[in-house]
Amino acid sequence: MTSSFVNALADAIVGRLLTQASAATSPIAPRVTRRSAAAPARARRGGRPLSPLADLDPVAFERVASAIAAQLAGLESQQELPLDRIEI
Amino acid sequence: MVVRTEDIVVQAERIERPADAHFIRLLAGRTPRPRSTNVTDSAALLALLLANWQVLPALSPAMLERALVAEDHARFVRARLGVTAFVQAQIAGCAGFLAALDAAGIRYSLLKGAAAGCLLYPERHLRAAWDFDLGVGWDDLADAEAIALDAGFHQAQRDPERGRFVRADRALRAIVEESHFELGFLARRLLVTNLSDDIRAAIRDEPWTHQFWHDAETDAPWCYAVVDIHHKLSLDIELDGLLASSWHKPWSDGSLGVPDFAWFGAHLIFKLYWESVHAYGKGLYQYADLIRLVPMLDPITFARLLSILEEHNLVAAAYHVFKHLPRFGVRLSAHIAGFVADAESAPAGADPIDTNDLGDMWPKLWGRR
Repeated sequence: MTSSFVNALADAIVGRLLTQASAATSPIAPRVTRRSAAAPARARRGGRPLSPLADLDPVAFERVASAIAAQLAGLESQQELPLDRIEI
Repeated sequence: MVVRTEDIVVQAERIERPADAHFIRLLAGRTPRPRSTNVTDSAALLALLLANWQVLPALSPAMLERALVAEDHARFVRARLGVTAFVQAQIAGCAGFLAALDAAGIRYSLLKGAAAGCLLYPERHLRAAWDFDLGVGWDDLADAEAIALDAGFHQAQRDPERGRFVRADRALRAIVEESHFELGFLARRLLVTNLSDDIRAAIRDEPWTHQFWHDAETDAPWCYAVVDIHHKLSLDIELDGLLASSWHKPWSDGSLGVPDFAWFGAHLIFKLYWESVHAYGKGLYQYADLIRLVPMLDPITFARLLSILEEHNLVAAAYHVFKHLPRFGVRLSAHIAGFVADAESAPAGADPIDTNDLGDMWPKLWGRR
């Protein structure tokens, strides 16, 4: 899988999960505001600009990050072609 | 002092390395002349063999016994076993697809290495190639791809970092196909269930074979079969003429669509010349095909081959390619020798670029300027 493909895929997943996460965290919106300072530091440590997630509650951030990782791992494994058995 | 052209040629012959002389004989299917073998010459010959691995299956280990030192000979034997099994897997992996094309009434022709193996060698697997190339008409392209997918192939692209094929990024694939003359990769992942112990050991112990075989250290190495479906021979050369003169060659398990010798030869000369003038050290193995093709080029077939090349402005390519055949011990028949003699002088007023004459490709074939 090319890195550009991974990036495009990640962006798409992030966009979708961000919507889901926003909906899920909306009942606890005050926490998001209160803890927003912690997330940018987390994003900086990761070395990758994850600004859309920086405003999330850290718990929600972890959940979204885990979901992205799981989906990417699943897609990686699905990318491999199936193995056919033959004789020569 | 005036240096004559003949003197330069003689000097070039003299500085030819022993390994080069051995390899030239091997390409022509002949055993290298016996001479004392040293480690340096042996290593140079092994490097040539591995760089031109397409010919390995056709070389018997006995031919190399006196030209390689024991350790290099053992590596050659292992490499040959690994490559040969890889080609056999490709042939087995593509058999169902070819049969399905026939059943659907789609006219196809094998191309390049797949065609060479069928036309010029006693067994198809004696000529190796990365891919299994074939051509179909533009109108049949979509149906041929659908049949390939039904036959177990997948739209795929190569991940260069891992050396593996993965399911294709459709957007990327569309961009490539839009500007190219073949479809993107169609690949299968194959686990060969009846590899002998010798072959499994060769694959496991020879790291060079791991470009063909994955999970090579396990008891279940696997490889890819890759089909390339062309709808042109190049961006400038259509496939219609080749398909129109293609024929079905009877084979042990049915018959296979192949080009006639004139079109096969024209395509071979185009590839041999055009690729090698644009790259260093690429394509020397194709002389093994040409040497086996030349006896089939009777005057009429050769005239057709030339007319195809003339139509595509590749007469200079034919001259540069054919003129080196005597180096391999090939005696040119009168009509071919006559062409080489006539083509030695460029037509009056011809421009090298306009006539696709990028000069002699021989040094570049060997990685030299």
